[in-house]
Amino acid sequence: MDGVHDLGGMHGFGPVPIEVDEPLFHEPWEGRVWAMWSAIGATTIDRFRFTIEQMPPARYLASSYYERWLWAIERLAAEQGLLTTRDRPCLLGRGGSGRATPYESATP
Amino acid sequence: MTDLTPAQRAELLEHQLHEHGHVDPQKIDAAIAEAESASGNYPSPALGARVVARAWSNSEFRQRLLSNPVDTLNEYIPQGVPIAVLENTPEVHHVIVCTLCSCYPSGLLGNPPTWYKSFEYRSRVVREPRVVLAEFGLELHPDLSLRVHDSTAEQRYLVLPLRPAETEGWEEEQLAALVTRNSMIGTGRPIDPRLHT
Amino acid sequence: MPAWEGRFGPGDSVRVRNAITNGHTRVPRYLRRHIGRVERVACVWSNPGDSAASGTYGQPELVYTVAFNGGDLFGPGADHTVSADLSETDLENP
Repeated sequence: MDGVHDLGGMHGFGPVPIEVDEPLFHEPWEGRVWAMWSAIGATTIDRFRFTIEQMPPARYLASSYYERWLWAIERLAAEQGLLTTRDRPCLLGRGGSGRATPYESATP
Repeated sequence: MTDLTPAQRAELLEHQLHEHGHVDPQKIDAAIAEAESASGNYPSPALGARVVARAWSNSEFRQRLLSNPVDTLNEYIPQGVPIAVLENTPEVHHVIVCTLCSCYPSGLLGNPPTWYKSFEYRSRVVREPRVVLAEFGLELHPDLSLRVHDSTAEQRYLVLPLRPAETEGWEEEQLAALVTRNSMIGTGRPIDPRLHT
Repeated sequence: MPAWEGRFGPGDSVRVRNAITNGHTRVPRYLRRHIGRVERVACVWSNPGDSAASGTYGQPELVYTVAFNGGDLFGPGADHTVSADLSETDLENP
């Protein structure tokens, strides 16, 4: 898909944000998200990337790296039935385009 | 309903997955602790440095590393995806990027630095690599051929940097201390011992 | 490395297909329709577009490392080479 993630050669981005000796995770929640990736193992790395690519463009550009992982893990966990319909309303975080995700509109 | 922060969403997700038996918070704690320990046995820049130092010291190992990198690196830690090694020479300098996401030789070097995953690096290094490398403090001679490699498929790349001058006879452990993470990505050179007396 | 021979070999001139898809692709926009030179077979891997759609890995296919002149991609000031790993199905004869 022709998404905004396809950044190679794009103009407009400034100096590379170089942080010397950065920690592995800047916030504890990032580490939790990174480790939770293994919970949705019943899919492919390609589907994980594709899920991130389908973020609304403005939201993608406004999200940090692990926020994009969190987005994908939430949706793939719901897709794989790891979360119940009782859990799903908690995926309705507002922000970005406000467009409904497939999971919001599929909730009975 | 107020917007949840990423931290709140992550906590909620972990709670819900745990409730349904899909994650074990203690295993998550352990995985994070292991990754943060940055030991030379776990995927980390320290592990990459050991490999580079050995390649500099041992020409038989260097040949094996270049011609059969997966089997050679499996001797250290099992590599889950293909990995190749790009050798810097006095004529050619390699630098790695993943413009589409953040593909990186994490099986050897651990998680990539934030700058590698940034929109700025991903967009600019394929278009104007010399300018980007200068931001890292790396000035390349104009005659040095620069090759930017975009990790578009599942194969990951390790740059084998040039061994610094005046390190003949050094022990592997001493050599490993000169190998920076950036030199294994291509945005830096190993530490020059002549500048650090 | 694969036990079978691919369509392309080192030194071959190839064009990146303009494969339009709503699905997942690993062909960056900046390489589409450009002509490059095959350097080597990079690896084998299952088709990423299919695996993204189905959630399972399929049959492996050949992936080639293809080199492009920076000047062709980004104009005369770009004196570097850009190389990328592209599936056989993403490439065609120029």
